[in-house]
Amino acid sequence: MTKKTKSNKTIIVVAIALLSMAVFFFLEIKKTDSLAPLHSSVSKPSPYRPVIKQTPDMKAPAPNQTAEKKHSSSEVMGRIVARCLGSDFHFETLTELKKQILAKESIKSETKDLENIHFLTKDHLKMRAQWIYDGDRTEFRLFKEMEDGLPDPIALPSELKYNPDPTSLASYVNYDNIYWQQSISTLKTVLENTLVINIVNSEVQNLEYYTPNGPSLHCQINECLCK
Amino acid sequence: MKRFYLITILFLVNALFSKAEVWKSEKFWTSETDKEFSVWMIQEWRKDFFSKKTLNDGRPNIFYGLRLDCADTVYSSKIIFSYYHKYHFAINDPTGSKKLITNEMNRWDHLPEPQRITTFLRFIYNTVSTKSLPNDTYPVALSPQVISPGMLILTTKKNHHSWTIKNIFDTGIPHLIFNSTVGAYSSLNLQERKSWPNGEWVFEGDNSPSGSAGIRNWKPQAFISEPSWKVPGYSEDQYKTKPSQWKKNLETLLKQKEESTNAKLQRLLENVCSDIKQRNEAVREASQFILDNKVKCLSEADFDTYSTPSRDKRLADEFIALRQAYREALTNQDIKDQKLSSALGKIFPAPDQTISEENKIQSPLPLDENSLCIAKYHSYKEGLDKTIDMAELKRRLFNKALSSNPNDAEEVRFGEKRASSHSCPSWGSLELIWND
Repeated sequence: MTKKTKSNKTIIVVAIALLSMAVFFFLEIKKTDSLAPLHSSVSKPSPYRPVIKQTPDMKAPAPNQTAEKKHSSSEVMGRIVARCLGSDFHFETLTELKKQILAKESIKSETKDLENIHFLTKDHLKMRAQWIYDGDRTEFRLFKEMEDGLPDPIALPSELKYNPDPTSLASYVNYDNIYWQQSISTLKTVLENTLVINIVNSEVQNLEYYTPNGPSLHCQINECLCK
Repeated sequence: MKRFYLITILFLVNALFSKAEVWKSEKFWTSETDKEFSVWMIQEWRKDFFSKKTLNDGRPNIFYGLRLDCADTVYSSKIIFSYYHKYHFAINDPTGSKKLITNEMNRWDHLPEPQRITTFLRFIYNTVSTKSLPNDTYPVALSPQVISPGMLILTTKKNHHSWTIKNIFDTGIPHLIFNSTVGAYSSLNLQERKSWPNGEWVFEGDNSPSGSAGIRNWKPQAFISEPSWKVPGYSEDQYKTKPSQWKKNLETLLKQKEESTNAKLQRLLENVCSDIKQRNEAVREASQFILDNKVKCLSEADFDTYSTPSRDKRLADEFIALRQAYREALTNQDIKDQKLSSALGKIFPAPDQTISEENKIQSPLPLDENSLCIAKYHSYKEGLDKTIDMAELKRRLFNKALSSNPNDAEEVRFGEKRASSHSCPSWGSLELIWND
């Protein structure tokens, strides 16, 4: 075989290989961009607005990292919190701060809404479910997680869109394999103050405390601001 | 020759494997862009943005036919501006990941560019909602230096509604472009109004910052992943005024010149008429949907799409604003236009009394030379079309005779007769409540 024939053959082989990869690549795209309903995940029926226990798969924030940040900023945050709410309050963690506020004020009403969950289907597909609470009704949305880590909306039957029946929902949501969840608690106190807590995997991520004629306190993990 | 083959292959490889973004951005959004966006909103953002087939220069409108609800409309204004001007676009993923949804997504790179942008918009419409808006925007200070076209208004979650601010006139009055829940039968036209919405409705249920209601601006790129309170310009001003004063305060604050009585009355009449027309369309769409689909009772999702409790409440608010302006004009003896005066006199025969008292003395009002904004509906029982003017519609609305229930026949929706009984389920409160 001459050198020329050999290099020509190499080029042809490379071209064929690339072409095959390209065909495969396009077929993959076609497979993932549809809004096809999901039929694969069937699990036990769960109550509507379920309270979900933490599963071993849930990823809690890395403790070392949090502790380090907490240590470096806790003194400053402590001063901000004390200036905002009074010297009886101190900043350690947001969970601790929430306890201090609740110990001071009686709660008039509380709503705890599950907002988003990420779960695995029995076929190991990554899925996301979302609840949107609009006054009188609850809208339910379902998404498939794509390779880019972003959601792909799934078309649902109209009876599942608003206030979905728990039994029907259980054919779409696998409550047994939730690896991430977010809920928001809104507490109104007898003094007309509002405490809003954003909880991700049982950890308080954000805390906001509003007083009608006084300051507002905003905190995110290890950072607070008094307005 | 060998070099030619190699170059061809490299070209093919590049073409096949390069991932096309939705659009290629060339710049990031800055405070200067806010000004550019304001100008674009004033000049380009119109209610026929998605309903006209061709642009002014004769090119096809690639956005023709998209159907948007209120939050979709708000997001669309920013996305389409960014697309046209090659700005980077990013919002938070509302499903909880820490990732951003941006114009750099390459999921649709097998599509040609015009299709990529419309597919991206459809993806956005199925992913965002009024719930995701607080995370992508922040409340602004009540200041004429701050509030500008391109910003948006959001209600609390109780009323889950939003508007884009297309323009703010020198009289302090805004031009708002928005939409309501849409179905396959909804008009492609967006809706518009020229007044600030009622603050009590905007902040209903929570007038603290946790309700996220009021005028908001988009988070700058550098703060997109940060909580709203960390964004420079974040302000809790709007929560310090009483919701009942919010609208008045805004008008006073943004006013550079006084609006003449005549202009004010004409504008408020136009708002009422615009709301009546939009309501007519919604009622007609519901009738058509029921006819075509041969359904007796609407499902909850369709009920939500075709019911009109919020529209009816907004219509009542517009009537009340017009009535108040008319009363002030009478007190100041400031109505110069006799025709306008007679038309308003027909709608509000006793403006110094409450609306309920006024309604008691009003009997059914036929069409005459003082009729304004005549609407048509079909009486299925009698099998004929009927007409109604603004005065008669106001009388029926405040007699609580209009029905917001999409399962009702048109004559019931227009208050000609009351629904005898409802055999179909209904969702949410349909009762009209107003404050004089």
